[in-house]
Amino acid sequence: MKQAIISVLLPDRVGILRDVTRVVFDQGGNIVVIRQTIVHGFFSLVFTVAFARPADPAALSAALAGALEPDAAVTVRPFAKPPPTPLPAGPTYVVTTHGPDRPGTVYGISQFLVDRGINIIDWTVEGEHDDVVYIAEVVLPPEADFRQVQADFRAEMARRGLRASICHQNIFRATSEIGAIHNLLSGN
Amino acid sequence: MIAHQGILDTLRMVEQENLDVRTVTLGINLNVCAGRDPDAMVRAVYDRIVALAGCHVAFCDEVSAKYGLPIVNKRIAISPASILLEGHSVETAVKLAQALDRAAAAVRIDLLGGFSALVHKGITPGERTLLEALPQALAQTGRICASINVGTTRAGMNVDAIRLAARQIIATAQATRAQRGFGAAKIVVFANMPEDNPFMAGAMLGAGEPECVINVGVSGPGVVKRAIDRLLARYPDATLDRIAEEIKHTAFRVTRTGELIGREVAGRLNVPFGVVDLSLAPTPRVGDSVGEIYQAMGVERVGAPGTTTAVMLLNDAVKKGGAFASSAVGGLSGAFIPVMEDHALSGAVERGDLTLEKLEAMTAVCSVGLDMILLPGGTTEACLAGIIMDEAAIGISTRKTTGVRVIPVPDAALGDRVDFGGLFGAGVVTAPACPQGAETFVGRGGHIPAPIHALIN
Repeated sequence: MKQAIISVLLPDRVGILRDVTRVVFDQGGNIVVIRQTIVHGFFSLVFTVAFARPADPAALSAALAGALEPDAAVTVRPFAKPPPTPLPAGPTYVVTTHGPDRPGTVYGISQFLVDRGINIIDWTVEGEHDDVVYIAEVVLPPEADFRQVQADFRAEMARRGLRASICHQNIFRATSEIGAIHNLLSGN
Repeated sequence: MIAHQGILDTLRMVEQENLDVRTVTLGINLNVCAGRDPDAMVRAVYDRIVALAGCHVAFCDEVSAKYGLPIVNKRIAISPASILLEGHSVETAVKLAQALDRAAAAVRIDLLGGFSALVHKGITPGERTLLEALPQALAQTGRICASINVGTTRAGMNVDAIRLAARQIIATAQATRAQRGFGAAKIVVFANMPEDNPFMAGAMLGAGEPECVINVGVSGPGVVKRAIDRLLARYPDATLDRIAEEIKHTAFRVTRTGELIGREVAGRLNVPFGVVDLSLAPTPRVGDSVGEIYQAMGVERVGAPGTTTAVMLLNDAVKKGGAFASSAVGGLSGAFIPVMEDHALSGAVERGDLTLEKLEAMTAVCSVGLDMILLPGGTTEACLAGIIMDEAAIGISTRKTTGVRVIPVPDAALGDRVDFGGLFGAGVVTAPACPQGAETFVGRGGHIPAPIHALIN
C-alpha cells in the first residue's frame, strides 16, 4: 500500500504520540493528516500516512502493536483516496443543546439530523453546572429549508426537555476570531 | 474547527446577557423626489421608500434566524427632509411626514428618522418650514423622528436655531399632551450630528452618504456588565485598568456581531454596508442597563463623585474594542445615558442621586448627551434653549457629538412620574437646579463663532 489510515486507542500516558510516530518513521511513512482526542482518560489517534515505497499493512499493524501496550487497539487500513460518499456540501452550522444528561439524547439529535440529510462533522459534549451541553458542527444540504429545520429541531428537543439552537458558524467565528468579517462572509 | 468555549460564551451572551443587534437601519436618500408639486413630491417619497425598503424587515428576520441573534429594531433613516421642503409650505411638510409614516407602516418599520434640518450656520426657508411643522407633524404621525443640528465645531453655534428648536419642542409636547408630551421624545437637537447614526431618534442619512446604505447599531450593556461581574468574582481587587481591558475585549466581540449582521443584510438588499455603531444602548429591562455597568464597577450610587470617570472609562474602552473589531465603526459609538430608557439611571434621578447638572457633566465624556429626560411642564423656552446651548457648547468645544432629547411634560411638576412604555421607559420629572436667570443671555440670539481650535486650515 502507498497510503494508509491508522487509528490507535489506549489509556492515556506520556509518550504515545512519540511511540506511534517513531514506528511510522521507521517504516518510511510520512504523516499527512492527524487528529487526536482524549475521552475519559483514553487516548485516541487517527491519522493518514503516505509511503514512498509500498508498505505491508499487517507488518505496520504488528509494529505499532509491538510499540504500544498489549491493550492498545490498532487499526491499519490501506486507501488510495477518500471514498466517494454523498455528503452534503452546504453551509456549516453549529447545533447546541443544553439540558439534563439522559440516555438517548445523542441518538435523538443524530436521528433528527440524519432524517434531514444533515452531516455531523464534529461533535463534543461539555459539562455546564448540572447540565450537559452537546455541540455539533453540521453541514446542511444546500436545498434545506434552514428556518424549518431550526423550528423543528427546537420543538423536537423541547419535547426532550432540552434547550436547542442551530446557528450559522460565522456568528461564533465572528466573536472568537480576529479576521475581517467580510472574509468570513466571502468564505461561505 | 471553532473553539467550544467560544461557542458557549457566545450562546451565553445571547441567551442570558441580552446580546442583540439593537437596530439595522436602512439609509435612503430621497433627494431625487424633490419637486415643486407637493402631491407629486409626497407620492414619490412614499413610492421610493416602499420600493427600496420592501424587503428590509424580511431580510433582517432571515439573517437573525440564521445567526440566532435577535435584531430588535429594523428602521429607516432618510436624507434630511428639509431638502424636500424648499419652496413648500408647512402644510406640505405635514403631508410629507404623514406619507413617511404610511411608508414606514407599509414596510413594517416602527421608526423612521431624518425628518431633519441641519441649521448649524443658518436656516433656509425649507428648514424653517420643517421646524415650524414639527408640532403638527409629530402629533399626526406615530413613526417619525426628527433631529436638528444646531452647532458644529467648525461652524460654531446657531443660537437663533436653538431658540426656535426649544420653542418647537415645547409646542410639540403640548401638541401631544394626551400622550404626556411624547412627541418631544422623538426630537433630538444635536451639535456635531453624525451623518451615519443608525439609532433613533437621531438617525439620518447625511449628504456624504451613499444613495442607500445599511448602518447597524449594536448594543450589549448586559454583556459588558456580566463580563465585569465575572472578572470581579474571580479577581475581587481588580483595578480599573483591568476592568477597562475586560470591557474592551467584550466590546470587540459585540461589535463584530454587528458587522456580521450588517454586511449580510446589506448583501441581501444589494446595497453597501456603511458602519457599525457600537454604542451601548440600554433598555428599561433589568440586565440591559448602562447604569448597572457603573454599579458593577463600584459606583454604588450612580451620580456620586466618580460617576463621570466611570462613564469616561466605559466610553473609551468601548471605542477601543470596537475600533479594533471593525474598520467600519461610525455613528455615535460609545455609551448612551438615556435616563428613562435605563432603570438604573432613572432610579438614580428619582432618588435625587443623579441631577441634571451631573448628567451634563457625564455628557462631556459619553457618546451623546442629555437623553430622555423629563422636564416640568412649565419649563420656559429660555430655560430649554439654555440647556441646549450648554450641551452644544460641550460638543462644539470637545469636538464630539452632543445631543438633547428632553420632554417638557405638559402639566407635570418636579417629581411626577411618567411612563411612556416599551423601550422609551419611565421616569420622574427633574429640572435644572437654577432654571431661571439666563433669559437675557439666551434672548440675544445670533451665532456664536467656532472655537479657535476649529481654525486648522
